Amino acid sequence: MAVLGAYFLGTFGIFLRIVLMKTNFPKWLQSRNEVVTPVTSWERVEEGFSLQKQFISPYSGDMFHETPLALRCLKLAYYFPFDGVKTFFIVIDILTMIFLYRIASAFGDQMLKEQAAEKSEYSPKAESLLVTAKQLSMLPSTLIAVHVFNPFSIMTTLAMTTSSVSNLMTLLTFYYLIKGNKLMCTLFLALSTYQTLYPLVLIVPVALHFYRNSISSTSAQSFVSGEAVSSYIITSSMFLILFGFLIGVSYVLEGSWDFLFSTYGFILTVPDLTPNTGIFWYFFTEMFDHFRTFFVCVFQMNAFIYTIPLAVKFTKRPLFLMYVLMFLTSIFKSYPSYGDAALYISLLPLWKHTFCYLRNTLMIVGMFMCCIVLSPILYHLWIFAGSANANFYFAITLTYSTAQILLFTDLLFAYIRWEYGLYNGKDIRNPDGSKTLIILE
Amino acid sequence: MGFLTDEKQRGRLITLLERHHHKLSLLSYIIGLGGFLALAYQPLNASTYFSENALLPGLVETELPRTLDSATVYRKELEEEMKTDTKLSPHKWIYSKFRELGLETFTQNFSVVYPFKSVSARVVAGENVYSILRARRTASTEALVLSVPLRPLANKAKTGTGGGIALALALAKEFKQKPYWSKDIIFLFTDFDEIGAMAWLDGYHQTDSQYIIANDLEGRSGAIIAAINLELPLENVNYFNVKLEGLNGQLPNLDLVNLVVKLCRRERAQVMLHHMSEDRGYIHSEHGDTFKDYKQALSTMLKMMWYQASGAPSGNHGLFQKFHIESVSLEGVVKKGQRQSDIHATAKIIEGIFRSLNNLLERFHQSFFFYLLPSTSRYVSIGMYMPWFGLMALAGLIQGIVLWLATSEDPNKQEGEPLASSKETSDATMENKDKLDESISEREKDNNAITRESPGASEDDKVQDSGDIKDIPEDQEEKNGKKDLVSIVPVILVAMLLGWMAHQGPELLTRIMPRFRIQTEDMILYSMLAIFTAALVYPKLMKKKASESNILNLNWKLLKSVALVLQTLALTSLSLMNISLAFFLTALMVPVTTLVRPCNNRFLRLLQMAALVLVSPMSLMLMVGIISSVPQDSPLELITQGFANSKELIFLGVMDAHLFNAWTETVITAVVFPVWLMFWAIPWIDSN
Repeated sequence: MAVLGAYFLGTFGIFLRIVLMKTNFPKWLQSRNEVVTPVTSWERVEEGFSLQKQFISPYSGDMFHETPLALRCLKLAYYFPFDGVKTFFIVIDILTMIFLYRIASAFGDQMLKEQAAEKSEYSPKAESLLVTAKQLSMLPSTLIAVHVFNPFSIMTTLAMTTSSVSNLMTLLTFYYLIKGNKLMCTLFLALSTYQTLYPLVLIVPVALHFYRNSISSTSAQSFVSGEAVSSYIITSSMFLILFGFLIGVSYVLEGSWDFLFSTYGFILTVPDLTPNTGIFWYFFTEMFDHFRTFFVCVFQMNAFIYTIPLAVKFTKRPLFLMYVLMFLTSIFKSYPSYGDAALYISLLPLWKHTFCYLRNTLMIVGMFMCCIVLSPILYHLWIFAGSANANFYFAITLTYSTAQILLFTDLLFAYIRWEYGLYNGKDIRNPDGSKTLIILE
Repeated sequence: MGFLTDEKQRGRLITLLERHHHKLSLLSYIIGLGGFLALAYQPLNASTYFSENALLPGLVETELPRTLDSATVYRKELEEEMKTDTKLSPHKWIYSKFRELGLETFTQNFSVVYPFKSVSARVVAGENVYSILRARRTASTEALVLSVPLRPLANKAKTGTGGGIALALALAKEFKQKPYWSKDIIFLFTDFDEIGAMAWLDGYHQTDSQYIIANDLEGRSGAIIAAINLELPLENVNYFNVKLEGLNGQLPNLDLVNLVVKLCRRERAQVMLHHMSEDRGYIHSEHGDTFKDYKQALSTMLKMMWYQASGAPSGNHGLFQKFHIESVSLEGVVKKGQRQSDIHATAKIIEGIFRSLNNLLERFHQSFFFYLLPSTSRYVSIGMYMPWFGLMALAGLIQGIVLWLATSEDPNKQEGEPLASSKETSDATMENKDKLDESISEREKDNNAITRESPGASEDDKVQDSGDIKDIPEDQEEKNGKKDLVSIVPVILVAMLLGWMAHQGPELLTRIMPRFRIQTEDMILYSMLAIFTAALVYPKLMKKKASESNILNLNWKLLKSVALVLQTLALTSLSLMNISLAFFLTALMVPVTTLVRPCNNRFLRLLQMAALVLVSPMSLMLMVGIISSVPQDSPLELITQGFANSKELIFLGVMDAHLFNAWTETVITAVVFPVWLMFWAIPWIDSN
């Protein structure tokens, strides 16, 4: 039943995307800088193709920021039947759905396994907090449903941004991580890091997860023992070798190291301040040049630094850690877009069992809706009508960031609260029988 | 952000909301509406002032001769020229006169392909004439435009613009001799009013339009900083009427409006906004606070909002604004028995305006872009009206939030969580609640018994048994939150689909249907009406589908809360672009949509439906038509005229959407209509 539902939903989603592709909506979306950033724009990819055709290095100018391998692989898009590129992105979307489905079922199995292993430690009163096989059977179709109706993923596919490709890479990393396939997992992690750099932080949950899988008894886990460290080193070196290999291949293909500055340098030094949904552009347009380097470092640090405390907190829950890090990346990366939101929102239902602890659902949904509706309007008022100014648009991008952070903290809280419930029982009562109010401090 | 993390504070806020939400919404609506309307009261708004120093209005000595004889000569010649063929505009005459003056003069041809094949010829050709006076001191990087629409004498519906043409010629002759121009001056004469202006602007900026096909311009200048549109008849005028509402409710920078008003006053010409005369007392803040003054100011403000709400340009200036060019129209009105301003005075006004604009160092960016004017020299800025509008919109949002809490709270409580529920926070209320629980628990068991018997009862219902449930009455229909969400999705989707149909309908119908022998106006109106009536019965159709029970089986609270949130979102985002449209929609829709709820009483249900139909987009259109034809002899005439007007209105709305890319039609059909349809489903739901 659930499988049939997922198929039905998936078909509907594809149909919806194909129909929308036929309208002039994609053309409009391609001009929206909430959806398309300099690093994900298909127009720029085409620019790269034509530069390459003229035997000019695509990296010599300031237009092209994809990696050398992507430049060669994305050419495949033209060989797809019916409209080539459009079909390519729909196929990417279909693949995304297939792997979402697989992730959901693999994740469900993993949850049940972990739960069975740890059940002895749980409080007996936490029975209703445990996930059941029946609940999990609905998970794949829920994920598909969310992906199908998620406005962010619809927009990302329609605008034909390459972030849908890099999202797929990250999803594959996640999938093979759950499956426990070390080689494939590190391969895709290397690929997605190669593509957008920020997935680098995901090496932490990946290493933790493989170590956790390798040891049999859950109780004797120590994540800082010599055994653990050697496991981490093996995983990271696998990743580094693959990543180095990719860079090496790129060098061989390009014949120079120019591409490094045009891709990673472009991501790290943020020279393009086109307005987007992130926090960088407004801040750095106002910046005096001699402070720039310092603040670029400070801002970029945000994307990486939180990995450490989160890794300490969620050492035993690497899958959640992985999700949380994906989420953080999309808030703090230098050229964020709706494409990043598409990824984490599609995966959000994985934590459905903790949703009963979410507290600001209406507000967050409202904020996201406001951002979707208001950002094109305010952009119009600023750029075209001239009646508003940059602050209007900045306000809405700030709202977007705030909404993301709220959702992030809310989810974090919900997860911790759920875990607390597992060990301490669901219904915690004061001695006088009234319910205890649990406050996070 | 305390209330986001601190349970206690949250609790307090939520209890407050839950307990007083009716009062709060009523209060916020009334205060909002009252506050908004009170803004026209003189002590509550501000006097206009110049924000842009560079304008230096009226500082320069006029260099025109006392009587501008060339203007009177040109006027006489033009009158004779126009009388030779009253159906034609004097393109050739204007072209040759400007050439005689030695200015670069060009014509631009354009053709209009009417959408819907609404004119039998389908393609209508037009011709713009324009002439560029090059500034001596700069390299044509900036320009000012003086535009005059061309209207043949036979066109009695609109006032003639012959005076404007004569004046433009005379001024061109004078301006040409002056050394001080730092911006080019373009004299533009447009065919078919706005359409010609649109074609010229498209040609100037090399943008494409699907329906107005404009030829490229032969001569051009730099970025256009400002434009003045003159609509002056051949006779001497009695007062000037300033028109400023542009496409999609855009307004020119307030500094430009101030400039025009100030220079008219300097020449002792009477200047009005929407033909509303005003007392001098209101302008100067001494004693403008009488009730009579307030009434006057309020009606001026509402008139301005009325025009702005339509989203249609009220003159050529409206299209310049689309291209980020500040512009106003100055219309000369002939009215017997009042003081006259002759063409010499008018010339001085225009000269003053252009010399002020000539001083500008940068684009208009100071002063206000979002404002309402209760008089020519008082203004209400965005900061003053937004809070009141916000309060009006908040009325709906409060209800939406409370309904959301009501739907989401119960399942949470069943799981025994101290989530959004506030009750756990204080022990005193806790005890009361426990008592309440006991009293309700028996009824509660019955409810659960019923749900268990029904075939659809799922696992989630069983969970209810163990849980301690507090707010009971609606609990029967309330199942798991997700299931509810799924149940309202069809309604939302159908509403969206119908909205899309209403948006695309007229075009699709005209394309598919064979040509009937009816006019396009009728065609559009009837197709809209057909879609509207079809939409009216959609809850009934959806009922039939849910085979067993004869009611729309969904959680009305959730539906209403979603619809209210969407409505608030739509109205507030609209308010940023077109505050007037947003204000009128909010004032009319919010009270009805907030109050609507399912009920068993047949009479009340019908009353609700009637109220909803009354605020539906279709009847709003009819209302607008009737109001705009108000002074009529008999009620019957009023209705027929109103109907004709609204037909015209809908037609023009659709045309503007196609020709000028106006949004009003889209907003009404694709945004307001679907939201309204969601509310329309609510009275159809059985209240049990």
